[in-house]
This record gives sequence, structure tokens and C-alpha cells, in this order.
Amino acid sequence: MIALICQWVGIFLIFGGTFFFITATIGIIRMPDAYNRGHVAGKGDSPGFLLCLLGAWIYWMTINPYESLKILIIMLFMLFANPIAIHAILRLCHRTGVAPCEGTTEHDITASGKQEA
Amino acid sequence: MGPFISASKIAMVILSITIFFCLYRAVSGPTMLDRVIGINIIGTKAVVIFVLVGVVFKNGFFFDLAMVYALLLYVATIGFVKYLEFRRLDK
Repeated sequence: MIALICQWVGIFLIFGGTFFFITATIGIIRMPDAYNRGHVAGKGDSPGFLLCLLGAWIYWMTINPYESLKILIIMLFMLFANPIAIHAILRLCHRTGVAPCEGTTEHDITASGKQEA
Repeated sequence: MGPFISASKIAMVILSITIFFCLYRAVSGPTMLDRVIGINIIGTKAVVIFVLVGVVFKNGFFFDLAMVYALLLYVATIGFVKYLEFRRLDK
């Protein structure tokens, strides 16, 4: 009974994570510049892999409880590592002066890449 | 063959299809940083696919692979960004 409940909860969770991954992919294709793409990559990926790995963890708990701790460790590591990596990429975008898209109303980067005073 | 195994297979196929769309961004990104973002998303999806493969084959060995791949992805992204910023890796 417990195994059946864990299975269906896990199925619900991994399809929720797949939904977030699909939205992140649509955003990374459609968004106009690097800042918006990085925003989508940081915000859409994190719930995606969190829900997918949480579903796999809940299912694997009923099969091998000790090995399931590995999935939990991967989840906790990527929860910290993925936003840090995206933040480093976007900070480099800002420092090297990647131009924002048309219609950006407020930004402190000039055309030469220097920061305005 | 429970329902979770079939659901994992379907999720793996969907993730593999979305990897190809991210590969389009990684190949034809206008700037270098767009390519790095695309490769980062591809790596995240690859970690999830590794874990689901381990669930399907009922083998905990794949979880070790996913752990190592997550560590390598983080170190590769940070190293690439540091190299693009300073043109050297020892700062």
C-alpha cells in the first residue's frame, strides 16, 4: 500500500518537473537577449530538477533506502550549484557589456561596455 | 514493470527532445554566454536523465554517475566563466 502511494506521488512529481523543464526550454528559445535567457535558465531549471529528483527519491525509498540518500545529496548540491553558476554567467555578461535587448528601459551599461557613474 | 518505470521512460523521452532545442541555442547563440547557458541547461537535464536511467535499470551505480556529472558540470561552468573573464585560471 505504501509502495503504491509512493509510486503515484513520484509519477506526479516527475511529470511536474518535466513541465518545468519544458517551460524553461520554451523560454530559452524565445527570449530576446542573454539576461532574459539566464533568468529563465535559473528560475525554470531549479524546480524542474528538484521535482524530478524528489519523485525519483520517493520511489527509490521503497526499494533501497540507503541508496536513495545519494539522490538527496545530488538534489541538495544542485540546489546550490545551479543558481551560483547562472549568477556567475550573468555577472560576466554584465561586466563584459553584453547589450540588452530593445525596449529595456533601465540599464547602467553604455555601448562601450563601461559602467556609467 | 510498475507504472513508475513507464512514467520514467516517458519523462526521459520528453527530456531528450527538449535537450535538442537547448542544443539549438547552444549552437547558434548570438554571444558566447548564451552558449554557456544552453550547455548548463543540457547538463542539468542530463543529470536528471542519469537518475531516471538508474531507476529504470534498478541499479544504484547510475546515481554515482549523476553525482560526478553534477560536480563536473558546476566546476566546468565556473572554470569557463573565470577563463572568459580573466583569460587565465589561477586568479
